[in-house]
Amino acid sequence: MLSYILRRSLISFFVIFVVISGSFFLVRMMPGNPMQVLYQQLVQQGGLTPQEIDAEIKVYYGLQPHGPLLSQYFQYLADVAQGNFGRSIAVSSATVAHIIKQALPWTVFLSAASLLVTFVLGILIGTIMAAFRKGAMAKVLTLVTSFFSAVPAYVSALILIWQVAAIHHFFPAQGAYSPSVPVGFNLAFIGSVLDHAVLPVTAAVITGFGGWALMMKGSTTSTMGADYIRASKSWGLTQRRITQTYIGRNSMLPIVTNLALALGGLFGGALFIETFFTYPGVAYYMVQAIDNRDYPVMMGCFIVVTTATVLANFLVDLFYPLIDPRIARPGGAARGAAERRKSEAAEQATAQPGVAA
Amino acid sequence: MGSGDAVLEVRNLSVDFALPTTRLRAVDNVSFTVYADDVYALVGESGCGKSTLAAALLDLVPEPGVIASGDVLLRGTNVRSMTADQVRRARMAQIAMVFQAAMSSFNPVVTIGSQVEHVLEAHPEVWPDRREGLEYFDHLLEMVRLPGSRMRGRFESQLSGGMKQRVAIAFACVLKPSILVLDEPTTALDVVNQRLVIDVLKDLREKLGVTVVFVTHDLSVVAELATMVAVMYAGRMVQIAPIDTIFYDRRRHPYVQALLSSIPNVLQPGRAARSIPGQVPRLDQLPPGCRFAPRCPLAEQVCLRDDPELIGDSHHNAVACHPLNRHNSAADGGQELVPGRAVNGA
Ligand SMILES: Nc1ncnc2c1ncn2[C@@H]1O[C@H](COP(=O)(O)OP(=O)(O)OP(=O)(O)O)[C@@H](O)[C@H]1O
Ligand SMILES: [Mg+2]
Repeated sequence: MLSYILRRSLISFFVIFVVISGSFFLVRMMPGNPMQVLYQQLVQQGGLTPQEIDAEIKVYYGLQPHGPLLSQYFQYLADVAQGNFGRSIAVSSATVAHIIKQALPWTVFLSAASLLVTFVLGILIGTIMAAFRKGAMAKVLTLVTSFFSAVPAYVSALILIWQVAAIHHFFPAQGAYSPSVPVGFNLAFIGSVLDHAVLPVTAAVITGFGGWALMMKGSTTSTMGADYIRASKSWGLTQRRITQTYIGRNSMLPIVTNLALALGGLFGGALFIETFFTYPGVAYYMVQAIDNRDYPVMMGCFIVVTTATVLANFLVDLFYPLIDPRIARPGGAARGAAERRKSEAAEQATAQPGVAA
Repeated sequence: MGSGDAVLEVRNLSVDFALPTTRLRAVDNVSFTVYADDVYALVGESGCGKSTLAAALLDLVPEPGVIASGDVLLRGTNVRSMTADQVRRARMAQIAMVFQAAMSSFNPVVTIGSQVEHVLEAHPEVWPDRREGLEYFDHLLEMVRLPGSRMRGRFESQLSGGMKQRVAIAFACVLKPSILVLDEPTTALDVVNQRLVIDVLKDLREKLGVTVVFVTHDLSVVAELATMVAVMYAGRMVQIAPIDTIFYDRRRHPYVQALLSSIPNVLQPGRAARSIPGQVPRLDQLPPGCRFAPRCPLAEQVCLRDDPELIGDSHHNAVACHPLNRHNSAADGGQELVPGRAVNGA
């Protein structure tokens, strides 16, 4: 078990390291190196000595613009390790770390709420579809869920904004809370936060729940056809026991794997939702940064989002053995099974659009 | 050969698979009786309906299968008129089943020991004290030549195929059933494990007094273990007979003869094995007369035209074959049948 955790942590660290390095070199290799662009701009503005320009750039990027690439790279790694991502170019007087610190809780809140509602609703509907898979209701539900999971996120978001917010004014369609309430732990503020979350969450749920429901239906149906289910019936077990421990636990396995993958894809989904609902999360700032060519913010957000994804996957890897004991066992076979399961789940997820969104 | 009480009696049992377009009768009007002292073998080629019949005993036919008609009597009590809960209680406590897919008949995410506990919990009347039930399971594991206490903590994936088969057998005995039904208990195993399973079954029968009913297409296992043999062909029972009749008497069904000839070294060592020409007919394309007639070296005009009845005493000795039954009724001797008038040639 310990070696399993160690192995997983090492892999996670490695992935994060690759992401940070990748984002550094990627931005550095972009045509019109952004640091050079800023340098040129400052030169053209005039009035600054070359030393002053270098100092200015160092403030934004935390780097010497003229140093060798490799020493810039090590400087960047050291800065990031200390939580220093440089300074925003577009938003004056804001460090990237500060922007992220403000935005991250909103992204986490909105994503977690969306995933929770999507997941619970999808699992419920999927279970119903599997349990009554021969009835007319299952057919109707399958049709409805397939339809909804085929609707792209931006369509449902636009319809919601237009119908629910613009025409009927049921719920606000912008921001995370009303500027008129005092920020803090009070009822008015919490109410306002929830009020503002309704539309973004609904938009995410509409596109997301169908995928979960269909996946749950498929997983449950195939588990119900497994040999050990028929065996457990021949043992005279009670229906309750069979449903809970034999069908339930086994059909949840691929779902939990997909939940892990969804945790990763979650922030990708936030991109759409936060942009459409002007919700001040990391993804919103990232999109803004891209529009403004605000490279330090862009890189910072990118690193945070990917690190969060890797951490989420690490946590799932950590808890997965609790539900599927085959995984943490030493020996190649078990690992093979785990990885096979995971790649199967990944295939399912890609085959069903809208699951992770 | 049938003595003691009748522990299991099957009367005119038919099982249908209701497919979208047709209804296939996988088990057709089958009757037989198993007595306490029997080791009962159910024999036939692949697709003859053996597994379906075994599953029907406990009302476990997989969808879209349904029991169309007939009765299953457990010590005189009709399973078909029991309530759902009574059937549930009878399962494993009276008839325990080891499925053909014994390799995958344990829940992969729960230990073997917990699954035993689930069984004990579902049948509190058998082992009111669950600890005793678990100890009995350890004892059974030792009887199947496995280290008792160490198996309980294991998951199914931690057992080899041969171990799984024996764990499944021990598992099936934990409620002290009167009948143990095993579907192809030796088929997926290597010879060493086959030997082991056969020895284990002999042991269980002797020491626990459980009546063993097993399904197989391997006549060498039958020769070793069985006292009674029921032979199925395309959903029908074609012969029911004591083991001696099957192996040493000439009044065996031509299909049984063909099965025997297809196995090397059972009757005459050194003689080459002959596979049976043709195939079991599909259930939606059954021939009009005897179902075996198209492949039968003894087939006559009447065989192609009329369906033979199972004639004799379906408890002990009966056969469904026109030439054989005419021959039996003409003279009770054991003369060999000569395929003289056979339409298929020899
Ligand atoms: N789920 C099903 N749907 C439709 N037909 C089925 C189903 N299961 C079995 N059958 C049919 O019932 C017949 C008997 O099948 P069964 O599995 O009982 O045969 P078997 O004698 O056990 O063969 P084997 O030696 O291969 O296990 C076969 O013709 C098969 O096609
Ligand atoms: Mg079978």
